[in-house]
Amino acid sequence: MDTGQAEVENLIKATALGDERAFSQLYRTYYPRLLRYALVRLNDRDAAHSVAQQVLVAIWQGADSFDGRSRPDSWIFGIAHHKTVDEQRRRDYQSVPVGPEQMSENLSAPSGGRPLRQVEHRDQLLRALQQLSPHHREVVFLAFYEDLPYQEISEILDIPTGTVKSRMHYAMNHLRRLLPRGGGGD
Amino acid sequence: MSAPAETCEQIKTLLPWYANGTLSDEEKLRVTRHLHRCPLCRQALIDALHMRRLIRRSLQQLVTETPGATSGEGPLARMVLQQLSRHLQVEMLGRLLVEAGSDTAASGQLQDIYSVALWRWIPPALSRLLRQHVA
Repeated sequence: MDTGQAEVENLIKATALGDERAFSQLYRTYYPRLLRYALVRLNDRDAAHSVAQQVLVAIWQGADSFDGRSRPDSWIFGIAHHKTVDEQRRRDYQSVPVGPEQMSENLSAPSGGRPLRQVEHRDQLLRALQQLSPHHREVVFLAFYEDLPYQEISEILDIPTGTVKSRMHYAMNHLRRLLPRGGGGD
Repeated sequence: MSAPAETCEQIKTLLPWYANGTLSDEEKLRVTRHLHRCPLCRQALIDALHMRRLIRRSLQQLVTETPGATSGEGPLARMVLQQLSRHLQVEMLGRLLVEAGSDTAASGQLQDIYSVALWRWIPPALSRLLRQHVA
């Protein structure tokens, strides 16, 4: 286990013993990462914040159930996966309509004075990601943003490693068709 | 007899993890050997590296520009913070400013206290809301 994950494991163990400072550190480390994950998966800012909060609540309440058999990232993103699935089901049940335009509005952030080309590339990427299913988006996120091995993604999503690879392969082909080719800078 | 050469399709399924550096040494060697003799897979690797860089940069910007993302101040957190009295906030900040000796350090500590307060100081109304949100 790398040093970062060993440190996180210690923080989880300390949280299990009620160490609020340790939890606070987990909160600050994981909140933005969980928010990105939920945002990519759900395409909805409010729902993503809510999921990130729920995961942190679950960590606080269930830190003593972490047995160290999996890496902390796998454990935490595993919880996040289940919470986003629950959130998605709840939204499906309530028939929250999210069409492509609405999705784009939800995911696109203000440019904040960023150079136009960068904003264009980002928006192009976000549009391309939005055309993928949530299952494909989350594999792309876990592989390319969280840099997780495919075995760990398989554990988090509770699917075979072959399915992880085929989802990523499909997503890459899709993104390759829609995005500018590499080598020209971005 | 040497092992049969792997097909491009087999290698391409490993390229994203070659790009993120998480393949085992044995898998890395297999991919490297294939890349040495396959220009199509080399181009696919360049595409994967480019996509990974674009995704990391775009998502980083996306959340940096999302209000409350870096402070961990989501809807539930905001509700809790709203219920901390202004008096308490001013008192805490004042005490931290004296103890920490600088504004930056004090705000960091204040943020720590807020995160702790989020979990420790949960009024009944919020507990009900949490029960709805947390299975």
